[in-house]
Amino acid sequence: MARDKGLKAQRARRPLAATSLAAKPGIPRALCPFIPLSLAMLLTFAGSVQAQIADRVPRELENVGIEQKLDAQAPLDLEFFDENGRPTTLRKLMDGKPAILTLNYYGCPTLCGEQLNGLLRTLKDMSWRPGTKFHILTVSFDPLETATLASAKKDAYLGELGDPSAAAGWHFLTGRKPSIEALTQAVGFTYKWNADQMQWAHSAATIILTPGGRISRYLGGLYNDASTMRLSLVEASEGRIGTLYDSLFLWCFHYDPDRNSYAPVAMNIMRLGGGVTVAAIALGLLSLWLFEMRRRRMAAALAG
Amino acid sequence: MASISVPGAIAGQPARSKANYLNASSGFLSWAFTLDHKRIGVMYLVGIFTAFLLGGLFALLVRTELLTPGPTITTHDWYNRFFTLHGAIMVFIVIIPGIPAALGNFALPIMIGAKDVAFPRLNLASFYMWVIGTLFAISTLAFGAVDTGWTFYTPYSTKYAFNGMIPVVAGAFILGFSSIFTGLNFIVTIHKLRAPGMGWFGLPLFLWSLYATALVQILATPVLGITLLLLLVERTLGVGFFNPELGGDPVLFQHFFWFYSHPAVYIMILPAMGVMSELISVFSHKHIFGYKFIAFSSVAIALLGFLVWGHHMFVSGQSNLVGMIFSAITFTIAVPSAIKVFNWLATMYKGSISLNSPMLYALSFMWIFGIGGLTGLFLGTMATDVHLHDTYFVVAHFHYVMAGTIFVLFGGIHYWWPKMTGKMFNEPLARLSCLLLFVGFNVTFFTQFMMGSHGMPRRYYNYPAQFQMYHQISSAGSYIMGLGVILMVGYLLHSLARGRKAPDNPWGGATFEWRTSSPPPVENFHEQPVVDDLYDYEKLFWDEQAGGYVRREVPDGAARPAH
Ligand code: HEM
Ligand SMILES: [Cu+2]
Repeated sequence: MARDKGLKAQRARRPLAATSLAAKPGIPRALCPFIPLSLAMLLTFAGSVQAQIADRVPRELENVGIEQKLDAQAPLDLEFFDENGRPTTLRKLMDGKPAILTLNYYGCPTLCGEQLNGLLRTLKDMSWRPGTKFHILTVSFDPLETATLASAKKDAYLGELGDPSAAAGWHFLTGRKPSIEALTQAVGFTYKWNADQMQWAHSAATIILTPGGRISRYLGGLYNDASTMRLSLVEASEGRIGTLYDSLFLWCFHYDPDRNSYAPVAMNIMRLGGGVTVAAIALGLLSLWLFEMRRRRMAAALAG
Repeated sequence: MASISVPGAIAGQPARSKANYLNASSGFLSWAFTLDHKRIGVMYLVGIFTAFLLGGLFALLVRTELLTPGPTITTHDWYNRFFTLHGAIMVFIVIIPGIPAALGNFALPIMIGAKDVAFPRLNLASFYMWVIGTLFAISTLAFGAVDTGWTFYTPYSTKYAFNGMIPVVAGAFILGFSSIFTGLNFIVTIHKLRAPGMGWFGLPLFLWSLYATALVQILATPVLGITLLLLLVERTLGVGFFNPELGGDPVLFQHFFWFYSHPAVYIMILPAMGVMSELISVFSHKHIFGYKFIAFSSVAIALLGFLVWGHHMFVSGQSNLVGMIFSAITFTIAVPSAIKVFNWLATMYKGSISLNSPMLYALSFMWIFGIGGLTGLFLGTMATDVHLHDTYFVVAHFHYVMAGTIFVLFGGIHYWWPKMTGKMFNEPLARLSCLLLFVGFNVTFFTQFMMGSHGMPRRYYNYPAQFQMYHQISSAGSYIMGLGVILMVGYLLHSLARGRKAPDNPWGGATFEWRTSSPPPVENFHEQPVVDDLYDYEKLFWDEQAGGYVRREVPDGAARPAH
């Protein structure tokens, strides 16, 4: 908090410097002051907006136990159990496709249900079905939960989705403690047993894995709209799924996974636009100015 | 002057004044494809005035709806559309282009002794962009209209608002380009086409203000353009730049928007201040006081205007320190503005003031702008703004500032009307109409200060009964203004058909446009005017026969005859 304020103060102090410059009358012919000045204005602008964005990391997220480990390798060869209680690995299930990984426990009375319902809503809005272009790995981090529980959950969600074909793509897993700990640690997910409430204290994150199992993005929030999900998967697939349009689109509007936000991207677009504008004006005014100097010199030469 | 009275000709205006830019060619196409800055200016004027009438109509609808609490003439959905369209039309279509594009286009080249602007084709193109942008914006009425308010705040505008969003945003985008091109054209014109011998300090002050405005237009408008594009991308493709649900930042939109829109206030005010300097000096028949101060204060206002956008966001969650800094810089803008006002007063001091209609408009503006400026201090101070934020106090304040500039637009229209059309309007009616507007304006908006400080929020369709009295007085004021505008349209149109022929120099101005015929010839001048002090009225004398002022050398020892 204190650090943020200091940062802002530092950034926001800039306008005052520009102020004293602006108030000082100069020779109008010399338009040069306008150029650094307009640059200064744009920089001030960019600076103070940036300060505000940096300030807006939600406080709640700071203590909820997800440390983003972007680009880290998730261990895909640990042993888990599928809904039928058969041992399997994440690598086998992903089948060379990108995957959405969620960490939940099936007896969760609150957050997990919300998160999975959100995911269900997203799936309903999406044209892609799990299994064809991507897989969903829902892993219980409670080592006491069994495949029976997982299979009941799976039936409930697939029934809600109304598409039995998705059964091959959405996997509800359970595992033993070592596997669970290795996986959660690798993806930066921390959780605790809260003995008072007899519940796991944890947070919700939807993690996108590349086909090779590297972490490409964490999606915050309980619901992500279909286009964000689709683009996240395209991005994670390393070009293996999605259309040309998707890739072009991603090229222009690259989500900033560090901040979980498009806002800094918008800022960059604005900076680019501002830079181009200032450059164009500077060039235009400079050439005018030179032109005028030459005209004046010629007039002076003619006069005598 | 030993003039012989020739029937059908006015002294000082021989037969040369027959061909002018209005009658040199005729037919629709000769206007539609004209490259003449004067015709383009006139077309802008017609267009902008029409848009103003439409925007005014929406204002009257809003005010009528508010006559009683609850539904009066329409539903809350339509109420929201009315005030949105009113605001968007008035800001983007009327005031921002108003003085520069209409009056500036007409006067600027003549005032520097040039034949036209530097890029006549670009000028025509920006006019058509204005037309297209306007049509886009107004077409929204057919697509469910827009109910976001003219600020288009996200995520409401990207997620929930009616479908008119896309055309209105596209319209504002196109209007932005029109604005940039006009600004560019003016800068180049002032640089390159000044009459030989006219230095920067020989420029009429109106042009200094247009120059400063053009700088703001070019620097700020791209920010709006990009912001609107991002908004469209978010709305159509679902990329969350501003919607927090999609990983965007809604406050970022406010930053972008106000980084343009606060300077935009100066795009509206600076040209008005320029016109003011001309009006005050001409109608006081006295050399403008503090030329350089007025000139530089325009530039200072233009630049400071970029540094204060945050005063629109005191309650958006920015830190107190940032708020305080924005508050402080906001106050510094008062300095160059006050410099101008004091210089105008000093110019009037001991002048021989004619209270013609353009001057009445100028004086009205001084009053209105004074109140607008002073109440701005309440809003620029964080502590009071938190209380007044989004109340009618704000509505009153920005009308005193923004709609106040309409008075200068009207003053300018009256001032240059004889030059543009070659006809004089009915002066007594013009004074009456100005009076109606002035009274109506203050009745409308002064009550809103009171309502606002008692807590009436803006943009509300319904209100507690205790506010009804205020709302009714305010609405009554708006009807008085409506009357004034209708009267103005009446006598101006009448003057076109029946008006007395205008002399070359009806008011006694010394700038170049008053040294050519009314209306000017296609090439603006019969012979190149000689550059001298454009605020020196010593050589101008009222000539009964010409019905206007003429330039003459001062006879030794003769006092300047007053009019
Ligand atoms: C001619 C007489 C005018 C009247 C009677 C009038 C009246 C109103 C009213 C009643 C509102 C709604 C206030 C609210 O609920 O927030 C409003 C809003 C507004 N007016 Fe005017 N107005 C007039 C002229 C102008 C002019 C010349 C401008 C030019 C800049 C202007 C700009 C605005 C803007 C920007 C808004 C805000 C719209 C919004 O909230 O989206 N008005 N006006
Ligand atoms: Cu502002």
